[in-house]
Amino acid sequence: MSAKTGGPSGRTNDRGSRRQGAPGSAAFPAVAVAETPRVRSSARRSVFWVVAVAAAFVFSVFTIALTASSNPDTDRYSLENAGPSGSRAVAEVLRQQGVDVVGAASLTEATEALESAGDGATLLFSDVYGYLDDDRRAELARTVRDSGAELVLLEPWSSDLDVLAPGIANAGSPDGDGSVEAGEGCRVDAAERAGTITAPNATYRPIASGGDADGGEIETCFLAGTGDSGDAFALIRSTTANGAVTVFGGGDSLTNDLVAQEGNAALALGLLGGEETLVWYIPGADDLASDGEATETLGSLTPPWVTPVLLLLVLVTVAAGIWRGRRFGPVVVENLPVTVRASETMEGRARLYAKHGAHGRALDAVRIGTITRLTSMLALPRHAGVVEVSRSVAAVTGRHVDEVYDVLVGAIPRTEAELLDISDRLLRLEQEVQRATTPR
Amino acid sequence: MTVSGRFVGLLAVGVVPVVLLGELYGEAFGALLGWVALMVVLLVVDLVVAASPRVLAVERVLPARVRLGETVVSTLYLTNTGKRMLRAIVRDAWQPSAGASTTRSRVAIPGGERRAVVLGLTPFRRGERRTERVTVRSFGPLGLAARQTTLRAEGRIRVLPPFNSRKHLPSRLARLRELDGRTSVMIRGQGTEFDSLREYVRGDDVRSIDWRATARHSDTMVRTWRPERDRRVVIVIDTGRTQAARIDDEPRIDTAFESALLLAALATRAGDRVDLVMYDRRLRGRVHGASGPELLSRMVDAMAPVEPDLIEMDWTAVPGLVRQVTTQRSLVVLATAIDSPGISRELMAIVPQLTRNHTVVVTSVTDPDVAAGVLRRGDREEVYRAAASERALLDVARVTTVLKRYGADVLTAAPADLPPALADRYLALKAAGRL
Repeated sequence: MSAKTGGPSGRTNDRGSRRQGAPGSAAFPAVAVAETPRVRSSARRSVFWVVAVAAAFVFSVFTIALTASSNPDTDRYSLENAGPSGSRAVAEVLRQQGVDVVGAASLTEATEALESAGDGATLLFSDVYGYLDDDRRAELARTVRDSGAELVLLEPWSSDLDVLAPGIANAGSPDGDGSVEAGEGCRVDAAERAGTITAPNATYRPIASGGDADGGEIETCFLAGTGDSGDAFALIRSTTANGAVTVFGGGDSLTNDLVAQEGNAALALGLLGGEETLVWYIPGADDLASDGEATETLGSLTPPWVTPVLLLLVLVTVAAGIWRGRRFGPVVVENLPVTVRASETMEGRARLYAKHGAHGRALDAVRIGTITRLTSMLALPRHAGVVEVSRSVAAVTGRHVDEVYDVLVGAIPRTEAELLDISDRLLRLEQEVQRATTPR
Repeated sequence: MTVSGRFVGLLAVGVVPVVLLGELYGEAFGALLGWVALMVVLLVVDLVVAASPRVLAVERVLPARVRLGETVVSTLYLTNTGKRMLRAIVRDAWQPSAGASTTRSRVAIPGGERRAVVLGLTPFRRGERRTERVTVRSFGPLGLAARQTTLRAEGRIRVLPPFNSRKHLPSRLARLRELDGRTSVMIRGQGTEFDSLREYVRGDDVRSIDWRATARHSDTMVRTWRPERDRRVVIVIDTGRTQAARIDDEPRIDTAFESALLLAALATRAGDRVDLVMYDRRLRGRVHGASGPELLSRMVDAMAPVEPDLIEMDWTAVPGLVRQVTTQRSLVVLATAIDSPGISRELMAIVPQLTRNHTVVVTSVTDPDVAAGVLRRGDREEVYRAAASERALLDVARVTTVLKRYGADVLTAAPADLPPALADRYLALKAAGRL
């Protein structure tokens, strides 16, 4: 039913009674008592919790801000990695020496850094994770050639060498641990100053064809093993018309862990601190994309309105939650009675009989009931014996007394099948007697 | 406060400007911010403009009683004592079993006016059904946001037992009139109490001619008889745990109420005085010294809130209760459940005390399922069930035998048959002059 307008007569009556009372606002009936607290009082009551939650939020933000500074950068040779495998120490020292150390994680960044540095830059390149493909390598070589920067290849792969330093080849692992000396024929200043360095990870050797292109010079330092032909060096510098390329196989010498040992530090500073700017290029995930263009991320592919729409949908969901979830007043409670079917006990007893196979007990109950009904049907006295009842039943139905007696008392059921059989016979007997005694 | 579905929908419509502006001008975030800000402003304005539900005055017009199964009208008058128009949804928080036709009604009340919210109540449980609060959700003119307040507005309605067995009353009253000798059939009243002398008319039983009176008058006079009047009937209803069991989806206690009401209606017409006591371990209800229509209304009133308690009936106090009501010889009806000798031991113990002074009838509801189960023996499970039913009937029969031996009358029947059976037993006792 819906609300309807109160009858006009009801209203006039109200007015009539009002006139007798005080005029004005007292004319209305008393305003109902509201159980909902006013906004002000509920705000006052919840102020503690609001403050507590805000404090907890501020505290957690503060804590996160503090702990976030120990960002676990564990990349090898990373400028930001202060751990044993990082190279932060070298970078910091170089910065203190006035070298502008610029980190680059992609070819684009490295190119930009080189361009902004102009002349007089060193590019350290180490493709630790093998991210660059041939096209990128060629592009890198072009960039380096254009900018005229000095290139330092740290532990390059053979594929890197093919493109960036064609005169140098891989020479496998060094022969032993310990340290290696710069050697007699070393003409690289930095290496000479360093004297000895810790054993390198990889060695390189110049190949004869290196000279045929432009007749550049090749300097070798730190003989680290005999290799195939007895010329495995940790550091090789090749100077051609395109610029200078230094291949260095002892990346560990630049790590925080080992930079302080032997002449590692001297070598690092001499090798990398030669120019005003050092671009520290370790290729990252951005270099994985196939084409040379700016990589198409998921973010750049989605239309600009997707994020705002998602935000809006979140807001709509919240609003819908308030709309549907706001309770229309307190819950109404009501004590409901328990519903117990009276026949439960009877059913339970039946299941107990069945579970324990109580043939005898079950049949007894059925027989007593049947005999009682037969007694009343045959109009026998209530205390009539079973023999008497059997005789009467036999007389009425025409069956033999013994048979009737057997059904009513005698037969003892041994199996459930017998129980069912006797029960059926009892029922038939009862029906026959009923038919016989019912007047037609 | 709360928001409406309209607000949510309107907020969702914001997708259109966000996508359009984002696609055309790349200003998706700006559009989002603008739209949300607009919605918030609309929301706040709507909230501020909405009339406060706290200015409402609430009055209820409600009948005090309703018979179970019938429908009454509950009217809630809401007066807007403020100046602003109040557009609201009103929830009258009736208990679920009050059977309110709807608990949400839409109203629009201009300032200073009054409107009625009309509900139909069809309670489906006996007892007292309550509402304690009215919640008002007042919307602003835009219908975007609402202020919500719960107001105290108590209302209660007493749901009386249905007295379905009153359909048996006319036939029993006719029988009573026959006993009375007041029927159109000119037979002698079958009562045992001398009523009056009147002139003989043709058709009268010649055996009732009073010769002495005939000698005194010039006419032939006959004596008329009528059933005894001003006897007492005491109905004791057990409200203990066994009365909570449901038979044919009706708790035993409801059957007991039906029987008691039919008996009381009949007995009070017959000129007897009826008292009702409902007891388990405490006195749950009592009707004493009422007669006529007042008796029935007081009885249903007393019965309405009584539900069986999950405690054992204390029979030992019953003779004392009956003695408090009357010391005169009377018909004592004990409405209880006869289950097994173990449970009924206390009942069997006190019945002799009652039968010494009173005529006692013990009524109990039997389960038609049990009676039917006895003859259903199709398979193994049914045979066992038949055995269990038989055993249950035997238990009842044993208690019945004992009670009868103690001089009580025992009446067992299915829920639908028990009330008329008790009425018939009463008429039989009355006809026999055994009251």
